[in-house]
Amino acid sequence: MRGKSWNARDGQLALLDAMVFFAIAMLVTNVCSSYFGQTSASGLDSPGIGRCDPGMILGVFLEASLGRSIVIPSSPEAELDAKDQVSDCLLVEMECIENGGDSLVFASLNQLFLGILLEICPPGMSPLLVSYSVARLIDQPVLIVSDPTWTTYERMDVRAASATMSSSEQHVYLVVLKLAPATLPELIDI
Amino acid sequence: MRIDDSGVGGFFEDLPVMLFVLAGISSLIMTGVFASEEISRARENEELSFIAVHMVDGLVSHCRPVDGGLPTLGHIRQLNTTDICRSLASGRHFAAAMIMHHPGYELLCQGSDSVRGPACDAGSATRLLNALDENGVIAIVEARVVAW
Repeated sequence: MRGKSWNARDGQLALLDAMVFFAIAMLVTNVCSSYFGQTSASGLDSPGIGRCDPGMILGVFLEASLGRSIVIPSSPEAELDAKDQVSDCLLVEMECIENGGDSLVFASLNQLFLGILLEICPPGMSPLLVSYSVARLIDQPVLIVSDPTWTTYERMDVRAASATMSSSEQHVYLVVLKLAPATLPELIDI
Repeated sequence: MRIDDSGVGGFFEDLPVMLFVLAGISSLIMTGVFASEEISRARENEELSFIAVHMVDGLVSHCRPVDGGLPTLGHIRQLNTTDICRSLASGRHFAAAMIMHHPGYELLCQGSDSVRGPACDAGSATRLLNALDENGVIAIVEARVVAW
């Protein structure tokens, strides 16, 4: 009687051990499958090596031409030619704003900058172009050109590159391009 | 002589134990097989990506003139991308294209060594470069290569 009682207890212990082993095996399986599921996401869906490099995008953006003529409604009116380089136009705009000019007259030029950036940014990425005057406080940007889907909250997945530009008046500007995954329009207001 | 009645009962008691152990072992084996396949696939993708980078760098260096200036769109349109990439493909299949994004969108040239595209594993690489068009406007051109 006493021995039978011990056998039953052993049986229950073996079943418990087997269940624990099974649970651990399932845990290991889940961890491995989720890890390898994440790492194997890249492949044909990937935008390609180099496509999301903000340094390369900023370099070709600054060196490119505007592509079409544009009239700046300042007094007197200024016309920028299609062959003018983006870096030169950006420098003219920053100098004008830095010398107390109205930044609203450059709205169409900023829209053109944004259009070029959106054309060369990888799909699903949102650009933000910010420029600072090195002589002034760094938290007061001279110029901001942003995609409407760019959100202002602190983001951890931002890639950035910068370039310095100097004007004929010896003003030095820091131009920063940030790239982040685009936010869905319906999430912007949240 | 002893009657082994506990042995009969023990067999039926051990059936669920055996099922749990077999299920656990089989799931571990399947996970191991899946993991090893994924590792080899990731290694293959990495190698394909390096080949794609090598090809796109070769393509861009063929675009640039020897004097170090900007390439022209006319020169890029006449590039034989298939021949350039074939010499760098290390026996892999590929598709290459040069696309102008600014000031307008245009497929400048393309090439491939196969009529079939990648089915599963592939690596891709991209470079952006500036090029001069006929009117003196500096355009933005993307060189893109997919290897499989």
